[in-house]
Amino acid sequence: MTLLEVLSLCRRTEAVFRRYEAQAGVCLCCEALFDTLAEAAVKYRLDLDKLLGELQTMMATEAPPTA
Amino acid sequence: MREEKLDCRGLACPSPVLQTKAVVDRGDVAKLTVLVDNDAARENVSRFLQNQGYTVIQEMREGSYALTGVRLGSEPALITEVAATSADTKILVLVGTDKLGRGDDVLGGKLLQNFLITLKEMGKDLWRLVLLNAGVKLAVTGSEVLASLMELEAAQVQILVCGTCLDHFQLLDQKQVGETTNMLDIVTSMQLADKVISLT
Repeated sequence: MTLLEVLSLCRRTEAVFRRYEAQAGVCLCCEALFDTLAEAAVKYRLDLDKLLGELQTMMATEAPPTA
Repeated sequence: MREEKLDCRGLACPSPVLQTKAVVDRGDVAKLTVLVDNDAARENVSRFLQNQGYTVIQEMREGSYALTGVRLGSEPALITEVAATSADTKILVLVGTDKLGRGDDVLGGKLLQNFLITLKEMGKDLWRLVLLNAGVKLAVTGSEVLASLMELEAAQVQILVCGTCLDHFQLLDQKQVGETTNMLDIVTSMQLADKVISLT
């Protein structure tokens, strides 16, 4: 699954990708939208299991209520 | 089939692509124009639309980019309309060689280098540069004209480099400038251009 597909499914996952920008050294939402999660993990030396865990946690979290 | 317009100026990635995707996913969109104001959005929206089967035309409009995606197989009038709305002449230069003229290959190589260095004098009218066959060697590591090509690219001239040709010469991983492209994009570019100059 690409980063774009993940973001399309759950926009709140953007916060997870932003957290990894410092480690990746690039804006993942700019530079890696069409990479699969596995490809991005290899390219930017990220911990794939940790990233997947955080994404799953975020997707399982209910969205905050709107005002 | 519908036409849609999106204004994504002021939006940071990934919003322009996500909004473009939302429109495309609704289906039945023959032509979609997306306005963006940064290079990352320009590249990502263009790539997304191309992946979805659209031919993409990039134009500068008042400091922003207008990305128009047209579905192939749409009414021919749609493509004509896109070309007619631009105020600038679109000149496409097709280079299928790494030498200009016949008689002496060393001289021919130098002549082509000079031609490419001088191309910038066309100004805003120079729209796209397509490199085919031996012409792809101009866009790879070690090319004498890399700096000139990069200068053209920085001036918003789109450089399309034939992927099949790069692969044939085993130069795919040495491309330094331009976008790797295919014959469909090249043929569509020739159709959309106001003038085609061919060096083969």
